[in-house]
Amino acid sequence: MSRSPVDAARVKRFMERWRGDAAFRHAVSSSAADAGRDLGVDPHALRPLWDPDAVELPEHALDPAVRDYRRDQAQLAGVRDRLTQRLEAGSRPYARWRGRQIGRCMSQSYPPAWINPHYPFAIELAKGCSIQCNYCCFDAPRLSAVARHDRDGNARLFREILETLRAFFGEAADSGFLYWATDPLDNPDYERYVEAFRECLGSPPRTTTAAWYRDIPRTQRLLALGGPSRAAGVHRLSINSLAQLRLAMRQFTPEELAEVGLVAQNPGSTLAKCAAGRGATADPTAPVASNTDISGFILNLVERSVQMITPCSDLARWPLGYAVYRRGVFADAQGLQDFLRACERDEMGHLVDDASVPRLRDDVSRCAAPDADEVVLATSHAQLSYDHAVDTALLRAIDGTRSLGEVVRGLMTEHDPIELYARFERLRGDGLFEQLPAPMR
Amino acid sequence: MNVSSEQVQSWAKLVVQSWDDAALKQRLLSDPIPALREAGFQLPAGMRVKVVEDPARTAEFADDVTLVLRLPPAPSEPRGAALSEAELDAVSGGTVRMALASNPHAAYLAGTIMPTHVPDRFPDIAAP
Repeated sequence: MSRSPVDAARVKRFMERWRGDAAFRHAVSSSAADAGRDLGVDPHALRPLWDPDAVELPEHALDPAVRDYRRDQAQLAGVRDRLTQRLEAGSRPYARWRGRQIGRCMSQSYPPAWINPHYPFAIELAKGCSIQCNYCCFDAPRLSAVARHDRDGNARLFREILETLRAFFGEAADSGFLYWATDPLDNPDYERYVEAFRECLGSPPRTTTAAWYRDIPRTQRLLALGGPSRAAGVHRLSINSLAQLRLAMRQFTPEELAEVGLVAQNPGSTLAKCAAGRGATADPTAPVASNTDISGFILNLVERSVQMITPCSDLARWPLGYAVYRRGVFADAQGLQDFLRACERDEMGHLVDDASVPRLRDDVSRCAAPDADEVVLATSHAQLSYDHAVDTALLRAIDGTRSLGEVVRGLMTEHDPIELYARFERLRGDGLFEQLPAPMR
Repeated sequence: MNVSSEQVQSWAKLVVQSWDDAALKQRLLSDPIPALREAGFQLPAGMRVKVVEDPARTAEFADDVTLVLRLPPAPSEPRGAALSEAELDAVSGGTVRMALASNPHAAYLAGTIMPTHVPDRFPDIAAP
């Protein structure tokens, strides 16, 4: 097997071009020996990255560049687990609630959601978005206002907000970011907020922008401010057309973007669209319902508003792909803290009372199990088979009418009650009982 | 000292809660009676309660007026365990197997990606 000396940045660029450019994909697959030579890579050596017939080559047969690329991708895919670990130091009710949302999404969503990081928060620094992507899953309205750093007490309030979020989430607050249904570069003071973020939380926030091409030197200066925390992923430039993909590849060397993702959203790219918001209009076959990657809070600095949200695939009820538990406004950091604590107390359901009646999620049904020692549950996307004796006993006893206390009492003659409660918490952690709130008016 | 099945159940719930609540665990170990009463235990006046983590110490405190409760350690299995690609079809510590119902993305399970037909594996998939 030939060993390719290409470096990771060039392989990454090759793959980004492969994803974004249909003609390039065709050229690679039809004449792998030539296409991509201008990038300094050997497409043939990279075949396991792009050829479905070669993806399962044994590890020892892989070119080192392929192994390195896959390792880098796995590293990125590990963001959620690093975040989970770090969030243990913050609000315990939040950490457990987020864990249950991850469990719920695992059985409600297509595989891309399985590595959804479920970030803790985002802060919008504008109202609306100037880009107006036709696939915008949040159906962002047109840009109508920005929160200037030196006006309305924003500079001070922003720092106080970050301190409040750090007190709530612990050091993992550095995984938050400063956009949602907005583009960060719409705010001319974005870099000043980034600097404040770094000063308060230790590293710059992750930036994703579709406005990177409007002022390339500004984008270069922004990227030069440094990368985000390892638990926050990487900076990303959204690509909305083939021309933009080519422009990005002309303006930035592979090395400059070694730690910056090019997210090809343009027509002809291999990336899946999401059906939420305007996504279904852009791609009627969009296989992914929601691409919300927050289980936590969205704040808006212009409106001084805050919402507690989590990803949701039920677009009939939540068309933007996330369910909202609670909305509020705050005038100062104390108001925000009160909101966070109220959510923690009222919405995150840290402990299940013995009197409460556990009930399987509405989208979870029971199936005939092939084995008498198993309980099989099904959702529209997955089957969950439980074979631990305590799990199966609990799942058979939980019928939506008996309280948790009654369920445990009824099983105590056969099973240790400590194990019954412990296994119930694990089942709960799988999101099986996690009912989403009804849509708000 | 004998305890009722209701007390056994209440204690079991407290144990599991204490695994996730360091303050509760500390209260149970250092001053258990108020914590137990808050949890609904009916404790006669004059009763002593000792909570121990080490089962070997149970006999050390046991007598006619002392209720000795053992606080076992939390299972070592991490909660919210990391999900590697190899574990996509066997998640949650092996106690639950999750498999996709029939859908065009089943290739994900085996890591066999059909690049032109399934969502990209790059974790930046359309996420904000």
